Amino acid sequence: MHYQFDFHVIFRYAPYLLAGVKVTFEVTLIAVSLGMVIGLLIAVLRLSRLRVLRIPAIVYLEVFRNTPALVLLIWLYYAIPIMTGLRLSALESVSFALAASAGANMAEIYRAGILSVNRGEVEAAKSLGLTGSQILRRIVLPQALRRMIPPFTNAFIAVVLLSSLVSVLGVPDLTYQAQNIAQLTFRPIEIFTAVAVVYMAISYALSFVAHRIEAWVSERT
Amino acid sequence: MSTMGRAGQAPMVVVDGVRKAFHGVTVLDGISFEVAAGDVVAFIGSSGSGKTTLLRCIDLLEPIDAGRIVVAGEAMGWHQQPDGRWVRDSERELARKRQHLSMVAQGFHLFSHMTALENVMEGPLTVKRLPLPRARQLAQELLAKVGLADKAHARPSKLSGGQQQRVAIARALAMGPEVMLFDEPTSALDPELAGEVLATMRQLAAEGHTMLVVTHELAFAREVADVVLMFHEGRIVEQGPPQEIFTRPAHEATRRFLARVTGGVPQPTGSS
Repeated sequence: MHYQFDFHVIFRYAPYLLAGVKVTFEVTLIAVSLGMVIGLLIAVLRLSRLRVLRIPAIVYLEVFRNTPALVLLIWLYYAIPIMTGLRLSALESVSFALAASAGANMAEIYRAGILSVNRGEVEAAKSLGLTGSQILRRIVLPQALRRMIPPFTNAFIAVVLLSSLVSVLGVPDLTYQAQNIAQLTFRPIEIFTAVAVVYMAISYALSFVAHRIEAWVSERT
Repeated sequence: MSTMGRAGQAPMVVVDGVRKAFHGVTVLDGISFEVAAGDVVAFIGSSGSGKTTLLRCIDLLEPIDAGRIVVAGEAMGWHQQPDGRWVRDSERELARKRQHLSMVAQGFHLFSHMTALENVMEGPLTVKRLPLPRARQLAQELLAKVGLADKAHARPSKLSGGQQQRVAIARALAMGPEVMLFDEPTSALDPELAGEVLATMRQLAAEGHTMLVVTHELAFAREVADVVLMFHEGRIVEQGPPQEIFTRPAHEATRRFLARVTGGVPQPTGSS
């Protein structure tokens, strides 16, 4: 092994990598926040007593569970602007596609959380005269959300890591920048070592924050 | 079948020919009775005889298959349109009509993420839209009434079963219901904890609350109830004042039920 490691390239190209980190953050932020909304919607539909509402949700979940994320990402990237008629930037398209995929994951987290709430409490709320949406907002979600913190943390981290797929579609995220720099410098090992460290740092930071939130929440109960 | 309606007063609860089946198994097989305002009615009978299901139907937690339930003059689960047709209530209508009633369940089911006070405030705040200070004051008064003023800021997990059930009673009272429903409120409790819950219920009965109580506490039924309904296989086989039912049961099922729950020991006659 005569390979000479040269980590200086990382510093030379740091501005490009940082620009990539910024795009990764943007994509992740949109995908996570939108995914949480989509997930809640799908979960509520999935739990509906009405078949017409339940079946589309089941189809949605099954499609995402049984297809590779990359394939769906590419498909949605082209399909979302056509189906919605919106003129979207590449970044917006991939973010929405990633949100759709994350939403499927999160729907199952919401569903498990909602089902974990004692049925008796739901009936007690019903008996008091709370409407369905009031029960969800006042009784079910406050309890369910607390139990959802750990699985949601995992889901967020998954989105961060999956966001690297958007590089395939030419969105200049961290991975995309790294590929470019690697081709320019012929230093893929050094560049991708740095990139892996950055992804790890982001994921660890997320876990850390989640643990703090969890501790804070359980302290108050 | 109105043996208990008081003259000149519309009954508070009318149950008329109610039927209910689960997956083809008949649970309620034509139940009819009326309850006058202020009456305490005890539902007795062995498990599976339909008492709890009936209570849940009255509280609109289960739809009925046939018959009619009227509470405080309102048909439950249905409403009549201007053209005279009867249509099923929407979820919103059901939520509104449930305010006539408050259920106290066997398992307490306090909202576990809220303190005792917040539990009691929830109905007035969210359903009745009372301003926060008034809801809080009402809740504090009700907790004091059930003897738990000092536990206002405790979470349900820090309360004993009897305390939880008394909070549940305060929570039910906070809605100012016309009818209180109790579904075996003491059967999850040790006898000594059951005592404090029964004492609270006794007090409510004395205050003139209309109460429908599913219970295995025959002593309580005997002492507090105005009327006892004996359930057997989805029907009411016997009804009347407790003294009569407990001392001279007319129906074979009642005799067997009383013999079983009292351990075969003959009941002392003539209570109070």
